[in-house]
Order: sequence, then C-alpha cells, then structure tokens
Amino acid sequence: MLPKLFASTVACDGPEVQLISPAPRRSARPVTRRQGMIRMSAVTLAISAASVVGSVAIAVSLPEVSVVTATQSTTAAVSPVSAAQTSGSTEGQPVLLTVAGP
Amino acid sequence: MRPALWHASGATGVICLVLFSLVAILGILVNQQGRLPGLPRFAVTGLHRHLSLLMIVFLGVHIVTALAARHAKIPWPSAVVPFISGYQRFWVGLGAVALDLLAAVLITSLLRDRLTPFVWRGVHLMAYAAYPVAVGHTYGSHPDVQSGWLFALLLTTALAVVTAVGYRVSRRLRTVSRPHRVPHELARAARSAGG
Repeated sequence: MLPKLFASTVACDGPEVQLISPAPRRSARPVTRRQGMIRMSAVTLAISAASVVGSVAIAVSLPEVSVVTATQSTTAAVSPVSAAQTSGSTEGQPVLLTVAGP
Repeated sequence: MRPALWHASGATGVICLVLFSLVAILGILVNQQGRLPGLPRFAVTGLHRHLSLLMIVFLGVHIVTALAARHAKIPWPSAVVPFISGYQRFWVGLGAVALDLLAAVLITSLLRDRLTPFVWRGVHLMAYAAYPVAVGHTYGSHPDVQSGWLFALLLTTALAVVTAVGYRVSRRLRTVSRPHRVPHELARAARSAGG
C-alpha cells in the first residue's frame, strides 16, 4: 500500500492534486488458530464417520458366501468344486465355498 | 459369524487403502507447502497426522478380523512375518510387508523429536514403497476387488496417488536447490539482458 501511495503522489503534478485512494480490497479474514483447529477436527470427524459408514456399506455389498459343514453328505454334494476353490476343509469345520456360475 | 468377520476384514481393508491414499496425498501437499480451501497450513499437517492414526485403527481391525475369521487359517505370525501364511501365501505376504513398512514409518514419526531429520525423512519415504505393496495385497487377496465398483474405487485412489507423486517429482525436478538459487537467478538475468 505504501509504495503505491508514494508513487501516485510524485506522479501527480499540478495545482490541484487529488489523491484517490484505491478501493479497499476485500481480503479474506485470516483464520485464527482456534478456527483452524475446529475445522481440522470437523474434517477428521467427517472422514472418520464416512470411513465407518463406507466399511459397513462395503461389508454389506460383498456377495453372500455359503457356509456348509464338511460332513460326509455335503462332501458328496460339493464334489465338483475343486480343492483350489475351497478352504478350511477340516472335517466338521465351516467351509467357505466360492462357486462360479448360477 | 465367520463370514461376517471375513467381510469386515475385506471392508476395513478397502477403507484402509482409501485412507492410505488420502494420507499419501496430504503428505505430498504438506511437503509442497500446499493448502486446502478454508484450512490453514498447520491444519493440513494435523489432518495428515489424524488420518494416519485413523488408518492405523482400520488396519488393526482389518488384521484382527482376518486372523479371527478362522476359515482362512491365517496364522497370527503371518501378519508381521511375510510369506509364511498357508492361505494365499504371496498376497497375504504382501500385506505383511506393507504392515512392516508402515510400522517403521509410524514408530519413527512418533519418535521424530529424538531422530535426526535425515533418518526420519529416509524412513518416512518408505511409505512410497508401502503404497504399491498395499495396493497389490488388496487387489490380489480379495476376488471381489478385482471387478466391479470396488475395482473402480481401487483404481481411482491409486491413480490419484500416482498423480500426486508425479506432481511432487516434477516440482522437484524443476526446483533449483538453495545453494544454486542465486547463481541461477544471476545467469538468468544475464541471459535476459544479453538477449
């Protein structure tokens, strides 16, 4: 501001000198430390809430898995499923089957 | 009960990667002294730290639920020791590698006051190595992430991080180091005066 005012003063040369000050700029008010902390906490809380909601939404959207018990009868029923598509095949334990197709 | 745990593990794993992407982008923003609209610079740094801790929480839930879902039979040590799991040895191993790298980054950040800036910075840069490893773990270990909207989400976050890293590298290549700044400016002034 000061150099501009000085320059306009020396540039004006005449009996009637009128200094026209520039229109005040609407500068953004500086954010105080307290405001910054509040905004940061708000953003953190919003992202935390979105993360929790997002994880629940993803968990719900994941496809259903069939849990069967690897007994003698179910072994015969799932015999086309290859060993590579099963896990936890201990007898009597829950088995997660990933079956492609209808 | 077991599939619920398995689904919880998969979901928290995906969210963990999204948070990792956000943390990485914010870290690059902090490094470049950038700002977010409405937030002062110290708040961007604080946000980077807070989201890092949030990511660690989700990472803990992801690991515990994966180990508790016993159908996959992932042994507990395989969470930290890479490539010893009987279930998806390679992909789970990548997760262990990413966890170890992130643990080093976290511990050195907590002890930052006791470390030299060179050591802290060197270890902190390992986050750049951890990110692609974590992406590989996420993509390979869960078939649901390999297609559909989860794949799109994975791709979008990875591309965002790649863009941010590219921005940082390009700025780094264009920036004149401090000792060479004055000679560089003098040479440029001489060139412009001569031309």
